[in-house]
Amino acid sequence: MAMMSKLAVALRSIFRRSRVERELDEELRFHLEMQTRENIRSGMSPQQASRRAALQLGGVEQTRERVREVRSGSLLLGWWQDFVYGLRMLRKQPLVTLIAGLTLAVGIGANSAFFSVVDGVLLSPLPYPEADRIVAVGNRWPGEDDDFTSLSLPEFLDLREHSDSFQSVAAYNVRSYNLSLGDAEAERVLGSMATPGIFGVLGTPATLGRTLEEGEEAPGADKVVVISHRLWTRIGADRSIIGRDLRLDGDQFQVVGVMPEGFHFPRQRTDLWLPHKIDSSRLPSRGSRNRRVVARLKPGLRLEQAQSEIDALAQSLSAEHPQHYGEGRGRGIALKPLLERTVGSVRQAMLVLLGAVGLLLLIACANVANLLLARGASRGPELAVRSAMGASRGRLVRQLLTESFLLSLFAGLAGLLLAWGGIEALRSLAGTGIPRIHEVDLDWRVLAFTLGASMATGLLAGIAPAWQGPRRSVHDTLKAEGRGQGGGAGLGLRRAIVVAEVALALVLLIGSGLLAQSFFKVLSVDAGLRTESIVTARINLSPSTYSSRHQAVDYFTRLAERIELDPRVREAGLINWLPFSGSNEDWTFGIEGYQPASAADEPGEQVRMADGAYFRVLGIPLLAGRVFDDSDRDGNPLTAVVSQSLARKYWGDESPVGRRIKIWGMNSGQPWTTVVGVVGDVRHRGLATEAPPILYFPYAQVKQLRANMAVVVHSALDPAQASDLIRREAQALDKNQPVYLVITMDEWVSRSLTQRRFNLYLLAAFSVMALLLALVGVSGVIAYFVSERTREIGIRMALGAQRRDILRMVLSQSARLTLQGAALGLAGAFALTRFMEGMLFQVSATEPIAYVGLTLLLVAISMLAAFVPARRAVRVSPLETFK
Amino acid sequence: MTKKRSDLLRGTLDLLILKTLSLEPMHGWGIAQRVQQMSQEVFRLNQGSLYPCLQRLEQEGWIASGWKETENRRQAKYYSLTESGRRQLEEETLNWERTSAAIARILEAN
Repeated sequence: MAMMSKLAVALRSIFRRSRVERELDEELRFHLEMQTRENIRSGMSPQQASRRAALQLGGVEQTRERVREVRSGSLLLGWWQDFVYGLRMLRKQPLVTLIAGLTLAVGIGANSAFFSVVDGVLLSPLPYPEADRIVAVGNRWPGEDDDFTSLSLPEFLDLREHSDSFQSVAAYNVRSYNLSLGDAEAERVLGSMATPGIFGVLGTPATLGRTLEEGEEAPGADKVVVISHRLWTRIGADRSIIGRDLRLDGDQFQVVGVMPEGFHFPRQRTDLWLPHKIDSSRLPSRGSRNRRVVARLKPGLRLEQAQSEIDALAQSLSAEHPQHYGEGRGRGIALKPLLERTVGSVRQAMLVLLGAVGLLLLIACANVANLLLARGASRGPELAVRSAMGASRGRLVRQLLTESFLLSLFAGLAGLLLAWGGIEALRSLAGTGIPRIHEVDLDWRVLAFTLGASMATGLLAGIAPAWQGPRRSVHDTLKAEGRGQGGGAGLGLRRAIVVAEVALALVLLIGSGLLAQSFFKVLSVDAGLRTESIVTARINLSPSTYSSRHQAVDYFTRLAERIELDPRVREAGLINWLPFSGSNEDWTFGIEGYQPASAADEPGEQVRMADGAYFRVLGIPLLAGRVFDDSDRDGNPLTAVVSQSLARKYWGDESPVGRRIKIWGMNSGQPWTTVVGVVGDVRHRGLATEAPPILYFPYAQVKQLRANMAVVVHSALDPAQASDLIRREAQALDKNQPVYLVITMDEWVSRSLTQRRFNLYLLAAFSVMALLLALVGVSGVIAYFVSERTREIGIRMALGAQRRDILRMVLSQSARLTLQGAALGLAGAFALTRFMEGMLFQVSATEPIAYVGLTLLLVAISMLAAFVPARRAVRVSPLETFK
Repeated sequence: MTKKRSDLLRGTLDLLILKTLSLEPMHGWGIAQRVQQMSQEVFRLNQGSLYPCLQRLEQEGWIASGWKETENRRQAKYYSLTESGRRQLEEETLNWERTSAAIARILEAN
């Protein structure tokens, strides 16, 4: 009841405002009339009586204001009035509103866009039901840099059979298939071979048909496949697809199910899931660790509980198979939330960038606060009059805050638009370098964030002006106004704000300076190979068509020969895993005369299969012996080429040429392989990572060759022509073998730098914006300083001060601001940049070059920014100021 | 503004207005006069604070207002007590009696 009447009164006051005001006037007039009559009756003259009546009431206007205040004390009405009034004030000064609004819009937009990235990548759960129960399982070897490695199939089976913690556990890999549809050229699609439990782990049923079933991992089971919604749509979205055959790698597979739209695992573009075959009578070696494993924890089980159970299991397995895990090597099995496993590598950079963009917003707030303070000075008289009329201080503070809230809400809307465009830009900048970037979107969480950021911004930007504004008495203000000056209050506060801005901008500048330095250091690293004028392409031969190794070798040899027929091609080489591609392979091997302490200590290193031309094409230097040639084929003695670091690691200063090794270890029963050459090191895992030791085997000879190779072509052709040539020749050889990943070597390098570039570009963009805002702030405060001192400057000039002296006076003001800000900023950078140590390369977080250089730059630029208002000071005419 | 007055005083004015209106509906000036008369001029009511107070009481829903003709055939805004205002008055009266009795006891104590 009371609520209703309050609301009724409030609504009446809002929508029938003029009527309510009229009624109040009428009521007060009646009161005065009655009182005047009463006063006359008690013997006053009519004039005296009416003056007395007004006095008794305590002033008509004051009473009116006090009633209004009570009325607006009802929240709804108060805000509405402030809102309308605020809108009017914002419209009254369109330029101030526009500048302040744009500043905040940029700040909020940058924050919303980047928050959406952080939200999509780090915060939102993976797109599977109860995704927090999904864990990645890996081997953990103490003392190794990548302490989370794949499992071997026997290790996976141990887990599946003996662990009690998992509701479901599955092993999977990632590979590509050649999909042939009708007579069209085969295309390459990404697939995954997974044990059927995978769909239980991911908790996702098929939308059509079924997922994989338990029995389908048996070697003799039917060949079946589950396809993605995307692939299903692409091949016609026909619901009768279930039961039909799909031709993969030349074999027929029956489609048993279609997954729901948007389902993806393990990659975003995975289109096929095939049962991983497990032949328990012929299990691969325990040491051949190339299966990734994920599991779903039982309901209610915490990660630590599961981990302690798995620890016990790992210990008993180590005891059971000492030859594989070695005494005291401390091998363990680690569980990690799948989300962490997926995005752990980018978390730090994301948080640093989020902090940076937050600082940017702070600077934007500071700038707007400054702008509003300046406006507050010019609004002094208005506020003073309202205050004199009886508006309370709280009332005026609320009014001013409402204005800045309004401003920030509009800015938030504009910022949302900016963010919308910004997200697109961020996605394309991130490319494939940031996991889950495709899941980034403007969703309700981003909207909520934007709203929250806008409110906080409004409060931050408005609090100082609102506090400052109504503080001065009407007397002082009007007096100052009479002199044509804005009054001195607020300059101290404004200077403090600008000092803070300069400091924050310097922190961001130094941060991005460190990143830029790292980036150039990375770029100047010698990768150990040539990247210009080289185009690479990948071909994955269908095992059913090329069932023997000889057929595959024959295909690739002929392909290289055909490409080399073009006179503009210098040479074409072959390798299985390209540098920077992220793919690699580890083998164990034995070295003649080198007795490992146990089987577990047998050397394990990265291997590649290549031909001799590969080294020449990529300009990898031959340091000793020879590279592969036509003699390294079947029937001839087995050969290998080693990288320099591998040679040094195992043979020290002696030449490895002529020494012998054994694939799979000394007791493997394999024939000896002779080292015939040493080549330079190549930074296979990216420019910023040390070159791994590598063993090269001749692709035409090694028995383990899989029919998945890349061709590298060094030519005088431009990349498009070279790509066409490779495609044409490959199609001419066999149109059912698709060519994919046709990109230049430069592009591989560039792709390997995606994350680094993403970090650098973003932080640089943030700091440039911050710098600009800080400069506007400096310039504004100096302009204010000058306008305040116009009279003083005039007097000084009249007394004979030179323009130089005036200039010096103004510039020293700006120098003081800047230097104070720079000192604070240096301290801030010193404290904050250590959080980004992991993002740096061969640069320490306290690298003096960035600190000194960028501080000087900042000081120089901000002096320039102060120069514009300073020149105005110099032009002051002494006569003008005295008029 | 009003915050400078103690709650007791503010509550007192509320109580006086409600009491006055419980006798008959009245316009603002009349309320002021009646309060002064009834208190035998002990309260010199600040007329200026009367109107914000009326506005507040109306927002609370304790009084209602409407335009009526006075004896002198002049339109005036009349306030009257609502049902919830009547309850509020009873409550406030009880409160007041309790408080003043307590204060009286303290002052009379030796």
